[in-house]
Amino acid sequence: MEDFRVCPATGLKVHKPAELLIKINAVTAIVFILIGGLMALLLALTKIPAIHLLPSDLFYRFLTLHGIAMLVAWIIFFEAAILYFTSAVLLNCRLAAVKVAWLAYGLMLGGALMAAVEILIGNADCMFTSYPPLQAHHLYYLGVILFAVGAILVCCVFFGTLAVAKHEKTYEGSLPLVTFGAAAAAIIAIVTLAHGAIIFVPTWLWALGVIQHIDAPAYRLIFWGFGHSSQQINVCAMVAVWYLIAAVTVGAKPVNQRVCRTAFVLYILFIDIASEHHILVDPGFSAAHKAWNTGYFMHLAVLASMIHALAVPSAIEIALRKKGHTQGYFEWLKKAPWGNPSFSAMVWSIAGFGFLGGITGVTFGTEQINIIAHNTWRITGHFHSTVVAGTTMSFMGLTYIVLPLIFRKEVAFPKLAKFQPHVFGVGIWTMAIFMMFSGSFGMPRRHWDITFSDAAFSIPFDQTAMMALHIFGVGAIIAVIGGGMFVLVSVATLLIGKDIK
Amino acid sequence: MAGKNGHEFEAPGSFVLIMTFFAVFVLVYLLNWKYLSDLWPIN
Repeated sequence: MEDFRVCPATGLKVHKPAELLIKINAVTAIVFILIGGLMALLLALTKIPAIHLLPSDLFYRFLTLHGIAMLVAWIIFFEAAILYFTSAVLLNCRLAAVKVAWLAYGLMLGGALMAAVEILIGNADCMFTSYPPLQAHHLYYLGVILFAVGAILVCCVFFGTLAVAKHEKTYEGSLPLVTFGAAAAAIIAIVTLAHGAIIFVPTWLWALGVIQHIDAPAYRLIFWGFGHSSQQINVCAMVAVWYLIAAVTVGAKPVNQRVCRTAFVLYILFIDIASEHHILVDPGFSAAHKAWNTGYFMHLAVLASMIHALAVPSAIEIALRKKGHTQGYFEWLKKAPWGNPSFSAMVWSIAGFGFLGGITGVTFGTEQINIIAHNTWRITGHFHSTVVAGTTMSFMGLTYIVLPLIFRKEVAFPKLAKFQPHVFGVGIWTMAIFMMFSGSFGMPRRHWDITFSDAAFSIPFDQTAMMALHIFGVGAIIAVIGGGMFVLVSVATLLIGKDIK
Repeated sequence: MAGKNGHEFEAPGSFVLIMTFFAVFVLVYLLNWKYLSDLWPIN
């Protein structure tokens, strides 16, 4: 019993070793968002033609590091914290296999640092996708593999903790919806990481010289089972976080939990198939294969998102109407707790993921439309809408709950925290919209010099697209300021925040 | 707010928001098909 404390605010029994692991994973995640955010600023300043800051080698190096730090390290370290929180804390039980959880953390940190160092010293200028025949140093692939093994162990500890909670009867009835959503994310994570192991182990052996050849189309197919599916873990975890924040900030309860749980099951069954849209322009796969996976099955996962898109706002509306905000259609929305950064971050996340990321994702994932969107900046704008405006924003919102609840600190600079989601939201929306806008004029993604200044023939872009590029830059700078505010508030809370007794 | 069948409609504001979302969805989808057909006209 000495391993537990009772939270005075929620009455939950908190397992102290689990609490420490939540803290260390969350803090590590914030360190990586700082690194990735710095890279984002340098890349954005290079993309703006009037500034064009970095030379080409550093641009691709920092683009690789930006991808690994943000898409992998920030997100998955934070998800590890979420898995421990939604299992041990919400189920009032001890964390299973604490030593394994620490081993997982060590592997993830060691792997991430190994990959990051290899990138920084110029041994892995292959970008996040590392498509063969581009080849990085074998230690880069080993770093990714170690990180993936650590992340698999995190999922094992999570499922072990669910078993402990069931065995020790620490909760009654079904799993809480948030834990159920996290479990769905963990199942998707295991499938995802298995794809990572299947493709990165032979690629590592290829870099070591043990294997002579990696089939490029096969690599792309299996890589995206890892590369895109890892973003589906994010979607699932993000939706679970929406339900959590809605419950904590306004006391929202979904009208029909069974429907919400069914939607999570739809994610498990069908969302990984969405990865197929990465190979829609790949000549190595049949039209039937592409149409079947992206035209039919993928929409069952879209249906799940639609269910959550209705369930979360309606739960919030019903909770606020019960508090007396019943005038007209939108009094509840006007009277919502906009001053609470956790709530406002959640609303930005729902709107960003739905209106920007979701709509464009389904549209660009259509086989015919993908032909005109593929490898343009429209795609980059789309996934910044889902991963940043959606997932990152929701994780920022959760941080404002975790700081007082787990770290037991009052949030420092509360006025700054109040505005932080709005600054970040305005910045990332502007940035993503104008990425997609310039992409619709054919602006390429992943390109150091989109004006093609040294090319043998000129490739002029419409001046509207060039104007959009500069507005993108303004949005990117605002987003970096908003991200910096988040890091500042989080770090200041940890260092100088008042203790909550 | 009462619905047609007499049951209370508990979240009318969310319903309006979701319908707006659907409208934007349809518009963006149609615009992309229009853009595609302009680039590659089919006769």
